[in-house]
Amino acid sequence: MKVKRITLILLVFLLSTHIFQSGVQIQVLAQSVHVVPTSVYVKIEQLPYTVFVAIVATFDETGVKMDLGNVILSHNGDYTVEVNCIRVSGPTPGNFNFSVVTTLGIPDSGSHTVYVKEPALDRVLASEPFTMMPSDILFSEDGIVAGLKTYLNYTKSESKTVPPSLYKYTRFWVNSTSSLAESALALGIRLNNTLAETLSDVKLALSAPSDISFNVTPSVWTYGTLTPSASSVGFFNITAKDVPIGCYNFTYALNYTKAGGPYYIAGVIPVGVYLANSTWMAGNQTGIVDVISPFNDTGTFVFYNYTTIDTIDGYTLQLWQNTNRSLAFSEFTGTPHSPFWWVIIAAAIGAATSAVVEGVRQAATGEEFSLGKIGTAAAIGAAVGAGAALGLGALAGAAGVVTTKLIHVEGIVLVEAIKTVVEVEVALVENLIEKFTADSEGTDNEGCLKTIENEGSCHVDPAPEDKLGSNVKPEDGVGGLLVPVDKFGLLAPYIGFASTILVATVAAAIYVKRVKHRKEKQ
Amino acid sequence: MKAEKKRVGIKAQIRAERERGRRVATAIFLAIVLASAALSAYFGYTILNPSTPLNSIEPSLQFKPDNPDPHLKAAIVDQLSLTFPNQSFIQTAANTLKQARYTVDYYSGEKVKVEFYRNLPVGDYGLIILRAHSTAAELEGKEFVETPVSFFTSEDYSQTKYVQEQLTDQLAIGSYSMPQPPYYFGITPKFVTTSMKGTFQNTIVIMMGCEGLSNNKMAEAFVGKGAKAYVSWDGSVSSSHTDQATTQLLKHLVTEGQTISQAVENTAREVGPDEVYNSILKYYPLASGNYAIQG
Repeated sequence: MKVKRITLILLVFLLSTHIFQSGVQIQVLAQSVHVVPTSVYVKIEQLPYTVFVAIVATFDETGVKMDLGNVILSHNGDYTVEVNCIRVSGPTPGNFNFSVVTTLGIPDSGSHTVYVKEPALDRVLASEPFTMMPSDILFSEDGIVAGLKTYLNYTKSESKTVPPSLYKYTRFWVNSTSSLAESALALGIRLNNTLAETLSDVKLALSAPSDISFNVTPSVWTYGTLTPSASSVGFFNITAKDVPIGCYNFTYALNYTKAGGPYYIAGVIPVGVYLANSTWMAGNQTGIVDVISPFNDTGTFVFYNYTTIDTIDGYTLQLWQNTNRSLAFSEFTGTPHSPFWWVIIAAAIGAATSAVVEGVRQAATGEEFSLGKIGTAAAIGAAVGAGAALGLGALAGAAGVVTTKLIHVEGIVLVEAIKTVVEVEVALVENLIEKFTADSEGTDNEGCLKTIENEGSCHVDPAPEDKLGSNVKPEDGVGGLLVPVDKFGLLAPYIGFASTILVATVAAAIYVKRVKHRKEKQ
Repeated sequence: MKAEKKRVGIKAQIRAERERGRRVATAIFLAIVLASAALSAYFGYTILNPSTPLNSIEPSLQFKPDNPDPHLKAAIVDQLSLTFPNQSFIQTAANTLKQARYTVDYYSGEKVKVEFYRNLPVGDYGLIILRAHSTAAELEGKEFVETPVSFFTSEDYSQTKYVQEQLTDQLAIGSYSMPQPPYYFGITPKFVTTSMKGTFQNTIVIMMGCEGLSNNKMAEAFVGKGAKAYVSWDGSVSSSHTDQATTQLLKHLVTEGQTISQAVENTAREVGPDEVYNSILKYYPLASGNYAIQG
């Protein structure tokens, strides 16, 4: 009996050692399994104030998910979007598509590349180059660089009604008839003197087509003298009344004196005119906007569930939680351009309608008129519009699952984009307030406040950290971390080896003893 | 008669019982011996079968100048090629070295394993550029603690490989982004001291990874192994910044023949600290500051 008991104990010990060993192996296997998609499709589009990236991955198994990880900006201006492709069940063979979307903050003008990387597998899945177009350069001639931005009535919020990708056709949009929300849309034109000599008598004249009901005030902005490296901003109010939708050319003429001689630079600024009709139903706090873009795209937006949200910087913003919309794209914007052309058109329409409905809402509710709020509404509207376009099937040509996922993902688009836009907006407002304050204290030498009554605005580039946006982080360091070595785990094979030898020795000894004992008995 | 029969029957039964017991015991014993033999074979194989040591590793590429100086050999160890590839840096660095008549051995990421580091001194390089992930931090529970500097290899971590080196803290487990796999073997200063074959011959080691000089342990180990100087960062660094700085450093050190101290100072002034991590390029030991590569 004793022998049996000892044998049993040894067996249990041996078995437990083996189980411990297996446990170590199982622990390793239990970690998430990352898989590589069979193909990855990356689509990038420049939107107002950010760049939008959609990633669609195709897998040859169905039980997988793709989570968006970090978006990393390298020092050379390239972006790495990390996506975690994780098997959640199976593997179950079959085709499966998954998509994620993100934004890239405000990249510098020029060429960039987006790399899509599976971080756990250390594998670049796809790469796609894109060019960030300068969003505010009007011209660069004879050592003078002119930047153009649009503002709402000299407030600290810029209007964002024109996606940079449409600069080929229009530089900004105005409503057919200037509404409350857009009254006195202002163009801010900054001149930078990059020459080593002083420019004097600098004047810029801006004029609209004479037979169209635009009003430009003032028609000439006097910059005065621009010393080397100096810059100055001039502002022009633009209003419209019953202007037919379409594209128009404003003309500018810059006159200045250099080294005693007169100089002249002239050109055109293409302007898009859209038509937005809005109504505000105070009873159910709902706004409806019908809009026709300068390119004959049409859209109806219904805004409801008005609410407030707190931004990360402690601001409280008011916006509509829900937007129903329908959009129809014209021949011009619908085909043969990429589906993302729709996204940017929708973003522009969204921006315009949000601004309009916010203005109308403020007027209808008797709320204190806030153009800053309208600017924010425009920014949010752009995001809503972009999401709307996606929801309408931006990638309708892709597999069914993709379409479903994109519609599903629309919420994420909205949340992410709104978050990004709101944060950038807040950062810009802060910068401008800072600049405005500095200017008010008499430190301005750019004429921003001297010539505009009560309010002023200057072109202020976002700080480098704002350029990153909310979800872009700087490039990772070439470091890492150490994990303590599990020395007991390392010793497990030795323990197992020693214990098996021990068991074998003891068993052999017992057996020999028993045999000897039996023989003696016989 | 009946009673005798019965008695014989009981004895026979007892005997048969004993015989059966003996057979069961023998079977159990044989089973134990067989199981022990199998397990011993498995454990013995695991323990007694370390990876085959190599005496040298062939470079992935070799850049040879037109008129090479047989005494001038350099190595670019590009473990970062797997995560932060930069072909233009490799080309620029190799060209700079070639112009100074160096023969340059280039080791791509997949070659940079434990055995590679073990044989590093054997290559007899005068200049080693370690473009590799490195760290001086360990995650203990939820806290980061400072450790001696460790270099990353591209060899997947395994509990059954290099057990002795692991038990003696010569090798560590490294992860680029914690707390998730993949895990790689990391080389610690103890490995340099204990397991690296041969000695360096006044080699200048440029460690391009993070925190290479956030403490002196690794630098001391290299200098103890015969290196002349060890240049690295005192904190984290991004790949683009370290590439840019190393390009400048090589230009000053190799092309212009500046001393280590001059080259490091000039480089630091030109490229500045890392924009994100604020780390600065340094060298060890201070006594090597006046050393210049003989062209």
